[in-house]
Amino acid sequence: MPTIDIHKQDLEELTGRKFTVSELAEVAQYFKGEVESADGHNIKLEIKSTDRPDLWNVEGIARVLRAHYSKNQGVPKYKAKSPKTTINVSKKVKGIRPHIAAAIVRNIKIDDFSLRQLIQTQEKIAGTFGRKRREVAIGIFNLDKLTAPLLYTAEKPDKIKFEPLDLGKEMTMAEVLEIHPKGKEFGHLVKPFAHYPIIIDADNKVVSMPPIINSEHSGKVTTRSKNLLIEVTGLEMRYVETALNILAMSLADRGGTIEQVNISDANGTTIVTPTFGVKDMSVPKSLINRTFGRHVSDSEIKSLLLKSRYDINHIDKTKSGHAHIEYPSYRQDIMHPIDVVEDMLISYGYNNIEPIYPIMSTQGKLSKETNRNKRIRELMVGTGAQEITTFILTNKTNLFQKMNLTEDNIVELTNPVSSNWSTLRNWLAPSLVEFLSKNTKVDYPQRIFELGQVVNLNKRSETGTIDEYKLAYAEAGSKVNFTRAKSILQSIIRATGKSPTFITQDYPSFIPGRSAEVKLGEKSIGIIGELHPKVLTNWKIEVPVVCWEIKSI
Amino acid sequence: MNLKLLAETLQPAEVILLKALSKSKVLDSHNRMSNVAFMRAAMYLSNKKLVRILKSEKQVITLMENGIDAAKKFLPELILANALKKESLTFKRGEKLLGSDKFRFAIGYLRSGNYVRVEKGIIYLTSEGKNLKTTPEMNLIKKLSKSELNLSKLSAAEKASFLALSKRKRVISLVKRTEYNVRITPRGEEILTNLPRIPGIELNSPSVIKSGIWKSKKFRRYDVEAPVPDTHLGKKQPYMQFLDDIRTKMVELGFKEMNGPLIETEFHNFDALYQPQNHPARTFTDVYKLKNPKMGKLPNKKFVDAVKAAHETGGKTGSKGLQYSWNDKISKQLMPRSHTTPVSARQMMKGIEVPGKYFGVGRVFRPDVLDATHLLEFNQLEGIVIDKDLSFANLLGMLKKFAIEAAGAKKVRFFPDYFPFTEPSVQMDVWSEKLNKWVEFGGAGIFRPELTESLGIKEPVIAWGLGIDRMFMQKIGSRDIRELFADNIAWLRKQGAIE
Repeated sequence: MPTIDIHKQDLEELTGRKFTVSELAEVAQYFKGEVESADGHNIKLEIKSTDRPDLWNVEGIARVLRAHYSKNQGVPKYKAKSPKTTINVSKKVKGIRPHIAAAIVRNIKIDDFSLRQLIQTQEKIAGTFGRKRREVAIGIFNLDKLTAPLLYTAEKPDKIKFEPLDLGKEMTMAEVLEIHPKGKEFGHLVKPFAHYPIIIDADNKVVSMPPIINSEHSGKVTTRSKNLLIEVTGLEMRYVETALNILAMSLADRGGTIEQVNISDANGTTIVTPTFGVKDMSVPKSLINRTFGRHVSDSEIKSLLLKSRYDINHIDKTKSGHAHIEYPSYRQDIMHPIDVVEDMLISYGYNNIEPIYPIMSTQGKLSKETNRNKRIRELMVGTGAQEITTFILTNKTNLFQKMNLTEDNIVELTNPVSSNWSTLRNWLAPSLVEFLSKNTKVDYPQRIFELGQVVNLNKRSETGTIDEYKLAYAEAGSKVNFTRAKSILQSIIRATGKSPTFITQDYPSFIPGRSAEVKLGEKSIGIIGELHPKVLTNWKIEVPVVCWEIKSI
Repeated sequence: MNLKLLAETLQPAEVILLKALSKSKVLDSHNRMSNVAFMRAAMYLSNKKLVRILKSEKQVITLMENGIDAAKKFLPELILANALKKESLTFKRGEKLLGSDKFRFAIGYLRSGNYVRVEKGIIYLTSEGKNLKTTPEMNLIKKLSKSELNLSKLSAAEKASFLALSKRKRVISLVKRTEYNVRITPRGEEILTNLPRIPGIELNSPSVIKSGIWKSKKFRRYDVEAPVPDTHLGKKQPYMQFLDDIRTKMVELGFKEMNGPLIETEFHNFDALYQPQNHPARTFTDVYKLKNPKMGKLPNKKFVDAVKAAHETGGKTGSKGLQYSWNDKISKQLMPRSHTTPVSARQMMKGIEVPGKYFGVGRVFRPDVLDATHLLEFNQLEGIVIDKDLSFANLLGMLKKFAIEAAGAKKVRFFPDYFPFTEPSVQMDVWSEKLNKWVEFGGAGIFRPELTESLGIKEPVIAWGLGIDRMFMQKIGSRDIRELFADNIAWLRKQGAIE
């Protein structure tokens, strides 16, 4: 979720209205925002619309709020002057970083607010929306230091030398990846290729090495810069154009004049960017009515659409008709009419909607599994044991080594946060023994049980695994004995109408001669035994422990 | 209780102890009783205020493993001296006899006491050496082998030996012991004159009942006011109990319970829920991946094709789709489920009743670091409601009802939110009386048509996934989420079962 810093006075100037912090917290719902902290005029906002990069800066937020507090509604309108500048695109970038779009912004007054916002917007758009510059990288340049036309091409890493931003010396592109902090951070995006993308101006001066770093010569934007070039490169044109539009609109909102740029490829095809185009969509009135849960009149539809910054071509009169709308092309999040309806609901205000509990005649029911588990747990409580609940995540040391077993193949995580939690348990008893090991200072006897899930590998299963509930019991104390633990187990199984048999069987976790396999007919359902002193010592438990574990019966 | 009745509660051991105390006033043991029996009788008498138990600390000396060894086999210096009585030894043979560490100590000890002299590598006993039978240290060890000794009661000579032995490796150790002295009270003296002439029947039993002896003889009275230890009742784990209660509540509201596997394919965890394959929330910083097993199987082809089409072009769902090339290999990858919504997806694929209400409670896994506010595995409460014309107002109504009925909330408020699989999406806050503030309760929405229609559902489906753990913490006023999976049995024993 993007978090952005804004200055309240900056927002007020862009919106044309003053806000208290608590008012801002209230209206933040219109842009799915939340005030995270406010320190005087410095406000930190969390923006929950991860699908709306156009809302990740103060200009975007002001664009939403203006529609609620002024007649500035409908699709935000931006004009762009015809292109005078060209960027030629070489064939060489194909397969590396094929797309580029650019805009020129003239006569912009850059102050501290706008410079900080510009840097933040660039970071958030390239970082989050651009997937850490993979999909989208942005460069902003002092136009007055460039000579058109520019060339977007790719060159061998050690062919061209230039001075990258903030390092004070010339170096090759290969050296940039080695030495420059940005080269180290983003170098992996170009390293697999024999040629690295580069932008060069008509005087053969390097402008930028996308998506890594700008040149010191033209890539330094300060409060003294008046005319800017914005360049966006990436893998897909729809993301590249969206990012460019967001930046261009922000600077236009601050008084800059936008001028288009020609993008010409080697085949002589030229496109012009940015275009502030619109797309259309027909939203069924029935979908609006159904989602609101009431009839919404045409005039209300119209007013809500305008507030949500849509334009309306027309609204069909008939009930089964549509609202035919236009929306700005940078709204990549609009995929289905329901997306438009949500915006209308937000503009209406969620808390203005009367919640209606749906009257439905349905029959509630617990799952078979829960019903059975509940009964068994009740029986176990009846034996006087304390129920516990533990984590399914654990580690091989607990499951095998500490239990005196040889390691087996089990479900393992690729990316554990800690080696303590790196596998899913394949049996339950170690969780109980671990619990006992944490309670050696509490008075004995301790009698505990858990009915919990374990996961085992299974090649035939859809998920490569089978998880099942197991019931495990342990008692610890100087006077615990096998007889009582066995008696409890036998009685629990008998209470379910079945009769277990116990077959002499040694297991490494238990004292030889003091463990058994538990069977129902021919089927093995579990084990019971007195833990081997080796196991107890591994867990630093100093009293005898008898335990058993069975499949949930 | 008056003194006469109290006298009738006394057990034989208590009477013996009282009588002994009336002679010697203070005792710390009794020769006709084990220490345990002595302390037990003293405790009973103390409860009845007939004696006072005075507690004091003392330091005692006990033997450690090398000391126990020496008690059986002598200290090394004496072993060496005795060997030398038979014949003079070279260093080499001496070392062989005792081992090099012990030998070096023994020869040092004997030389400094002038018991031996060494000439040209051969050890000879001196005349003092020939008379050496034992040492003060050895005497102390022998004494200690019979019983531990009170440090403050050692003689001056013993104290010197004690200090010498303390410097040697694992021979003796000093241990703190609590000492109990029992002293009779005036009331105790008085009760001795009130003892019943014939002692009461101690143990009631079938033979006592049958014999009729109770007709002529009284039973010994019990001190029924005496304190007794607690019984640790068998109880459900409080968090499990809470989950039981939630399930019951959901059934009362007309919900059927659904279940799903802990390990999921990315198909069910993400793709079927219309979450794009390059979404950042699908990366290893947000969810766990599996090293073993790695790949699962995809479900029925009709679902796979519909989901693929929905992602790529919107398919037949009236959507533009996510416009990228969907990869079935990614979809087959396995992971521990990161939320319970795949359970809903599975239920919809199996087929659901319309109208229908379903819920599921289950463990989910996220790569967080375990601390007071984060668990790496926790429970979610998943719910879906389906009917022909369900509205967003119905979703809010459902959530509000649930917050009030299941969580006991009084006030709720709603905020727009974003989830990849719902539209519209909402976040609900509830007013917490305990914390006197709004608390985040959970997210919900109406499933996107791309999701439901791909799974063969035409009607709108209301859905939510609540982090139910925070609801429980609020209920018990806990600030540490780790208490949910309490690993402290003392805490569990203390928790009440009835509100």
